[in-house]
Amino acid sequence: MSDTPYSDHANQPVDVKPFSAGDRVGILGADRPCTSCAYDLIGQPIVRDPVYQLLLVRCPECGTATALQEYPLLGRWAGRWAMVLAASWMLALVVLLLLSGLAMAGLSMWFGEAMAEPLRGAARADYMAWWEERQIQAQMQAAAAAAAEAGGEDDGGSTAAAQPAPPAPIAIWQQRASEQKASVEAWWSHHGGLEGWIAGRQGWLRALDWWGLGALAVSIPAAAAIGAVWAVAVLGLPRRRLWGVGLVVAAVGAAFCLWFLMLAEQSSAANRAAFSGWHFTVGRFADWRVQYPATVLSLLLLIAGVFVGLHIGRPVARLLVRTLLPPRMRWGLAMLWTTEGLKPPSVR
Amino acid sequence: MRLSHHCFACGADCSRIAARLDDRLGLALLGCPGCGRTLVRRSVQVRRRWRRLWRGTLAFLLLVVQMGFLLGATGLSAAGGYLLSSTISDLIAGRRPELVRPFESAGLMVADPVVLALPLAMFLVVGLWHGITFAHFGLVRSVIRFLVWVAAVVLVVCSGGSFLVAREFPSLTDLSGFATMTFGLLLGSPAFVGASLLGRRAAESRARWRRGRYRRAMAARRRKP
Repeated sequence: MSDTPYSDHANQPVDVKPFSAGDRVGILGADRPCTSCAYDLIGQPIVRDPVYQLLLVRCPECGTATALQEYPLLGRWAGRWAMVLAASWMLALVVLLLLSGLAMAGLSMWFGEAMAEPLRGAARADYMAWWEERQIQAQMQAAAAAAAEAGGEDDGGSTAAAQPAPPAPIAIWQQRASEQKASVEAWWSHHGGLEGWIAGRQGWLRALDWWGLGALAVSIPAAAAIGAVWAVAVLGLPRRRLWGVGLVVAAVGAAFCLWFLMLAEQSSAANRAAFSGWHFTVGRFADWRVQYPATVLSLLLLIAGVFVGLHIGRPVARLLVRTLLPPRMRWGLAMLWTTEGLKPPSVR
Repeated sequence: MRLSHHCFACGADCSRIAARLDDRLGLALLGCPGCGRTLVRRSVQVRRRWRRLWRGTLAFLLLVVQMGFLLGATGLSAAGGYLLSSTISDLIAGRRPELVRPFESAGLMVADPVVLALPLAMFLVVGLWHGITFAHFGLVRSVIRFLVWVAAVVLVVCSGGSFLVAREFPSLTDLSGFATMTFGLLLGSPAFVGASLLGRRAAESRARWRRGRYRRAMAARRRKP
């Protein structure tokens, strides 16, 4: 600033002269957005205003004068608040990561369990049918024995003959509890294997579980939405490096999924030990043959969905902002454009 | 609380001195009471950052709300289209519209054509929202885009849903619901466009009022001694 004192107080009206360029004192050498239109003023001449002796830069786009006078920050609270905000943001990202992993693992398990349910249901139905038949026969035998006692007759041989014969798989399981695998294989071949299973249900569509397909139809868009949220949450990262975020999310999802599978396996083994039903044995067969592979397959599909979401997340967010927000409000989310070097949308 | 503002040359406290908006430069200027230098009153960076953060948060919240509204408006338009089309076809065929039944079960007696007011009301509500939200787009373009969007969403839901529920509800696989809804959308589009025009007019008059208020405030600031 020059030492020329100001002739009149700035709060008093002054003679307004047409704008003159003033003395050119230098060139602006760094980025500085125009306060009105945000045009980057780098490279513009710095002039000294002839009336007020202020150093100014005129925006070549809108003509707004920007003063170069700045005041340094003396307080410490700005830094403290910035630190609190940064820590909160980091915490939010960690929570988001855990929630993303949990959601992916939960959706995968949902699909896996739904896919195994028809097999488990069929085994349960077979076992319960035999069990009920046996109960009915036992009741009938008890009634016949009571009637015989009342009549003074002894007909023990006929009660033994009335016991229903168990189906072959259950018979194997009853004879030798250690040969569970053979029992399940016998049950599976009794249904004709995979082909017989599908044929028995009149086509593969009906052999699959409705809820399982529904789960998959919902889960993949949900995974894409998770990817899109991450693409916007880590705006500071260039788009070409977003695959790293996808890998982290996928790793957390896979870890949760593995944990859930281990819990399911423990629960399944505990069920088999605690309950004597033969269908629990088939349940484990369904776990290994259907549920676990289906869960892994679903997880892979969800990971693919996350990567798709990461790829399209930012363009979709920009489209939503352009479409749903009034022009004045768009400026608040201009970072969606500026971080990728794009021109923000017009505010008019 | 006033923001501190000291003269960079003599250190005099200028925070209590009212700044005057200079017509020529468009800057808020004040003279230092100590040395007479001209100073510029500017918002400090902290406040500017907070304002930017606040503005971003507001924009984000509005975006979330608008996404919810878009979802609701899509469902309401689809339901309105379906109800309008099926009610009109029932009335033409001389059948009692199915839409009457909920009224009757609630103990209300309504004439058959009166139930047409319900889907039309749905179109009016959605149209008002559409006019207010998409006032910055051209009317014809935004209306066509919105109707195509609703039809596309319903087509995806119908086709995906019919694939999934083919086992339970085979009658849905013929996509007759989609055809009925699309026809109803076309029938209800005049009401939708009318309400959209009203909403647009309301949004424009509000923007005009805001601009006027800003202009008056700036003029008052310039007049301030």
